[in-house]
Amino acid sequence: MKRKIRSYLGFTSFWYKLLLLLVLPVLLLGIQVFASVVFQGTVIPLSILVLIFAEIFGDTFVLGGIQEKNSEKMDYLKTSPRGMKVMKSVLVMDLVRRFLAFVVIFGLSGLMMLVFGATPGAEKMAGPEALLLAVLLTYTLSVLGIFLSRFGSLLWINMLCAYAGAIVGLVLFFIGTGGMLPLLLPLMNTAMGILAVGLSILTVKIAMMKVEGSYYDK
Amino acid sequence: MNTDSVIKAVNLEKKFKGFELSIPEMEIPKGFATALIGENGAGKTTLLNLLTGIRLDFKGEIGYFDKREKLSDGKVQERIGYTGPNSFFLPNWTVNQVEEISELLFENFHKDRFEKLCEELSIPFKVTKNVKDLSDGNRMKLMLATAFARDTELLILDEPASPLDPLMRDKLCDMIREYLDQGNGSRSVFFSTHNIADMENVTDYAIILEHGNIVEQGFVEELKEKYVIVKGEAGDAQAAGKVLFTIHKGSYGFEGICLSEKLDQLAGMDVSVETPTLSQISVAVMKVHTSLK
Amino acid sequence: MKLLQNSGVPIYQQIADQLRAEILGGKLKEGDYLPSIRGLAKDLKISVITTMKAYEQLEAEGLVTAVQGKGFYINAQDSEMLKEQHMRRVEEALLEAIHAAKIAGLTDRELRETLAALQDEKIF
Repeated sequence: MKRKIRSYLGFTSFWYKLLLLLVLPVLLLGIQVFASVVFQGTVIPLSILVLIFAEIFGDTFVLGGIQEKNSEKMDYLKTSPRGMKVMKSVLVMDLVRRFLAFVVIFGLSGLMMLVFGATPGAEKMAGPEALLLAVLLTYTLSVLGIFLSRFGSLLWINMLCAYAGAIVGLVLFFIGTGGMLPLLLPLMNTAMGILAVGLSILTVKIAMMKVEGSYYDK
Repeated sequence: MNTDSVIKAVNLEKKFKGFELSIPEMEIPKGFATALIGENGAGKTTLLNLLTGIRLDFKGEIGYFDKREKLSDGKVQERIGYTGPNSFFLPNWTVNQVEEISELLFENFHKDRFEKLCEELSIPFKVTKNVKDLSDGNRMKLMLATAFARDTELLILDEPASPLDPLMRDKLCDMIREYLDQGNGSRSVFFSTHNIADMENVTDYAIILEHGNIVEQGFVEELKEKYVIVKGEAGDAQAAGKVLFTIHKGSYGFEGICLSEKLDQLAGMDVSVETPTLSQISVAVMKVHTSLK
Repeated sequence: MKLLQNSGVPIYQQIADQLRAEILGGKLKEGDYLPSIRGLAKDLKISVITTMKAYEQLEAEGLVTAVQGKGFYINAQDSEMLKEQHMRRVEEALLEAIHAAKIAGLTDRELRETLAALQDEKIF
């Protein structure tokens, strides 16, 4: 496990680690504390928007283009007996880190609202099911975004995925927590949960297929 | 000369569209620096990729080190250092990350030695410097630093000299000699190069590859005895042309390379002979086999 | 040791010549080891095979013996043979002097006087 974490941290640059693993979560939680204390509000929708965007955009600087056609950027890894193992660790840990980060951010956001109270508008986003939806939406859409944009290394495609993912995530969250239909929230959670698992497996599998495929002629 | 070999390949075959690498047998001598020489497209990189495990689909067998281990046996790659011309690192890695990742990839990677090499080769060692922003020369130096920072028994270097400046090429030769010296006969180097002249003083054995076939090979000192440079008068050019391996005719005379064993056949002509350099031999051999008009 | 790249004399030959002179001159003594092949190659910035060829030539001349895994050690130099080797060098040098004297138009007597004068000066 330690080795897997080290592989992941090795693949991410100093700035990526600083901004996505530290500054952004702390900032979002800080704003939540501020909102809770001052007007018992919530910034969960903002967090969903910003996180999806930042996660997809940030990935360009880590594994961008890894699923590209003719991607043979792995010669160094391929000359190591552990290269493929390290690669897989990075792909898996990247997803695990994301999921854990979202659980912590949205969990703590919910806790703030529990501690400092919430206005009626904020309260419907503070329940366990709503928080779970926030986690699952942010995770699923950011993974979908990175999965799609890793097929190329063009920045504008990545940005498009990032914008679209963020907006879709936000809209789905409002629909889910809007209370229009009685069973919508649990249904959405179930659907997102299944999607999250499926996409996670696909993201790791396709990238590994691509990298291992370069050992052979296509 | 009888020597042990560090790699023995048998019946190597690799086909691409319009290209076929076919090597019935190849041995790379142990304890020496071997140069792989050939035209662009001769199959040098393909051959090195098969040896390093970057490409796994080929026919034939490759045995490594004294026990003729297979690459799939696990620890073989750990004992081989490699630098290549293609995208080697991920472009987004920084020099710092290269260090971190090297430590994960290879048990015998020494951080302190890597940092010393970076300093010695003046590679910008900063947390923010991306590999893709390095110049070709600096990127090659960085690859060399990762390879030389490890305890290996074999270095496979694909065109290490090409992106380097003359000073750094000289340094590379020094590094290779020191690597061999430290191994005291147990370490070997196999590198491909177009810069034969610059690498000549570090080349012990040469393998010349053309169209995927080995057309000449041998210890450099033996090749220098096998071939001889012949210079003579213009009048003899016609007759000499039938004997010489390659010939260049001019209005003042001719110059060419001759197999030493055929030198007798030039008897009676006013010729002078001299020992060729490895690059002269290589060019002559390549000229004979090239499809270049 | 100094090597000339463009002298026309092969590098291995230059190495062999200089080591031979050191062995015959007694600078390298019986039982001593020659520098390691790869170490000398590194120091002289030349290939391993060139150094090896020089050593093999000295071995063929009987001046050194190769020991598996240890290197090349210097043989006991037969004093008779040694003297003969030295004698040959003296003859070579004198022949060259005679040749030069002929070109300069010196008589045999003048040449002998020059030799005697040089010996008196004891520059050696």
